Amino acid sequence: MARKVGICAIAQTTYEKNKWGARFQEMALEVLESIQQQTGVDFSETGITMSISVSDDVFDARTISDNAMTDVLGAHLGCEEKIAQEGIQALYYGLAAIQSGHEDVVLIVGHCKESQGKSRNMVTHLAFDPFFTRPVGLDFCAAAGLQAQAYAMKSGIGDEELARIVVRSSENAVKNPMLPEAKKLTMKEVMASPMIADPIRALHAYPVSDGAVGMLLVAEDRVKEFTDTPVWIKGVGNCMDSFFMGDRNLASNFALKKAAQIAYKRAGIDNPGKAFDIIEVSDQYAYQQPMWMEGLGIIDDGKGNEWIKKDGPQKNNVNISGGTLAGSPLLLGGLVRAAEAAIQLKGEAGDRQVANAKTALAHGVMGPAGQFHSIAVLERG
Amino acid sequence: MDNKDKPLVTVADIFGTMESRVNPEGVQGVTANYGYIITGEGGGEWTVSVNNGDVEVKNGIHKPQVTTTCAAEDWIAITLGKLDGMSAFTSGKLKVEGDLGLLGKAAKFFHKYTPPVPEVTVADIFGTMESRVNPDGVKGITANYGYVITGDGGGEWTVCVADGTVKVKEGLHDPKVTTTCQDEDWIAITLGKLDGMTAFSSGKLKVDGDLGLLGPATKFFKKYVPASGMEEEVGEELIVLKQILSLPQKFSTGKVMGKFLNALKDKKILANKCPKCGRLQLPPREVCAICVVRADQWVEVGPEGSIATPDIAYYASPDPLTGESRETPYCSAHFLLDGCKDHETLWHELKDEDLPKAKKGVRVRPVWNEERIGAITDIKYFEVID
Repeated sequence: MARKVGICAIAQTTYEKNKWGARFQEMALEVLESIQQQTGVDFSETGITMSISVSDDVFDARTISDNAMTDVLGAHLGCEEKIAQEGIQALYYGLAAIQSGHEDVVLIVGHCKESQGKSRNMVTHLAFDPFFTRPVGLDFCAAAGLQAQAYAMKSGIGDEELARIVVRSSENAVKNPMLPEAKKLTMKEVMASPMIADPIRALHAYPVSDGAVGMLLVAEDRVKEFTDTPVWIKGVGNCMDSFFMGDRNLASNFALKKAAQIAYKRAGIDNPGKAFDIIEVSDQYAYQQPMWMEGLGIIDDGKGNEWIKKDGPQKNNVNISGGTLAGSPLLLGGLVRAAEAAIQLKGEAGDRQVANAKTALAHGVMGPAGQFHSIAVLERG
Repeated sequence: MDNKDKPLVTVADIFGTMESRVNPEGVQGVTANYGYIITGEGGGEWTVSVNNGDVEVKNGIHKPQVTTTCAAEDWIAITLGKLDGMSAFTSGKLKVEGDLGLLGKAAKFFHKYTPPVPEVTVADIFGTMESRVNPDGVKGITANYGYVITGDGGGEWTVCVADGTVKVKEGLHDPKVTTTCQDEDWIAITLGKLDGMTAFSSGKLKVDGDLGLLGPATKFFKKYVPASGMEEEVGEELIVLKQILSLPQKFSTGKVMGKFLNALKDKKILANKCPKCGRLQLPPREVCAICVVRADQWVEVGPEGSIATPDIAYYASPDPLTGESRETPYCSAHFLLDGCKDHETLWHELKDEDLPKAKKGVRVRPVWNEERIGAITDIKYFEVID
């Protein structure tokens, strides 16, 4: 049996629409300094020996974006690896590096400054091929519009239920100190916000966000050196669907179901509907919260609308942090979900703390209309 | 060169057109004789005499300060941009004797050479038709098409299409439809410069007979390419999509880089210092990468110093958005400013004219722009202190 891997520290900057006063390095440095302060970890032979960064070349406007980050990752003259995929994959890399026996102490730091480019949609527009999909106009938001329609047809979810999701997210967000710009929204405000990709309204989409997040992962036998309250990574699963959305049934959750199946098997979860005290899903758009919950097998297929109507999100402790919908940068959404879940399991969530939380699920998504999903099951130590 | 009888681009034409292609800004302030020995068939010897703005091209070699020797075909390729001058030099195809430094300037003496445009004739358009038949386009069609092309370069032709075969004959032979048009308009239509339908509706092109036959005729032939063969060849199913990736950005300097750039406005160069190891960083960054602690102490260095490592770059990457690139060659160098040690160097550029003096240890000072905006280019370049 491979040794367990514990999350020993979690650090985040605040997430804001425009951190104009800081360059990426400063955001990342804030995270690193907090992790060092919490654990006393350094970069000696018994400290961090591998740094994993999360960043994107186009958002950073820099080829091989991680190369510019080594100073503030402590990766100078050391080992560094980058996640260009959704940030939650950093947990997977770190887990693999530690379980292999190569590393004991791994630093993860992700950053993204969505405000730097003129438009976030222009960045995701570039994710498509130049011959077919780009000339027609797709970006991640337009792609989500197609998926939202497909999901609405399947589940019957409508404007009112979608607004409910957004309002609840805003209510949770104001309790989250990492979201200083969060404001409580009303049903009326949400339902009056402009339509951007039917049925997605402006307030159904996560706000443009800048910020950084990090964690310290440590091998089981050395966890005690850094914390008394580790959070164990019980299992990670991921799955990639087709790039061309025409190849997919957009409402089927195919990749998510498979990713969940793998993660549950590795984590020994038999009944996902009852297994989790905390669930953090990457709801970049409101419709995704119930849809991903179906894909995760926590609620029945096609029942997301009823679940919303019956106050399901509150009963299942879904996105107590406010979720991605309240503001996490695109690359980091899943990693922030894992960070928020781990903070709950460590019992450090302050006003938003859920009592006796023992097992949590964190979910990340990347690519158009949920092309790639990654899930981590976490457990209090 | 597809026209084998008479190449359109000749070395003599390149040199012969130089005086008409002078770029006044490029030759300004330059006085020197450039000799050229172009070897092989079509070669010869020329001297380009530049005298502070005036350019004279003479046959023969006349007291050159620098002489370039090159084969005729390579010289043509360099002129047309098909062979890079610098690679020709490094591979030995182009040899230089004398003052090498003068050559960098020569790249800007002249506007681009454009080969003479081959004359397109109506006779050539009809004469090449049989070789340009598009089998799918003529399938199932049997008809004679008459053409009366008026003007000096005109004539009469009949294109006889008989179910897949095409014969082009001079004169009119039982045409079912006859097109009448001026020679220059016919050439313009063939080259795609004039739209056939527009020509018809404006009366430039007249049609007698069965008008309906003309529609299929637009698909009878593959594109006419003038004899020079300068057109790019593109495979039928291979399409190249040319686009510029453009995503406007605004970059925050942050406090540390911001302090460094702001100081340049006051002609000050600031380094930051690691409180632990004492190392200086230029440009300053938030942390000392080695000690992973905030480098929070500031030191003014220079502005004078010495060359640590000079290098000459002979090319420049074009700006991805504007397509413009800086002048070449240029000297890119690491400078060790006074107050710095070891490899605490600042990277910048050395003044063009100082290129021959670019050696390790040579003393330099920055030359500042009059208007300074808080950018690294507020330092124009460094220059050698004589």
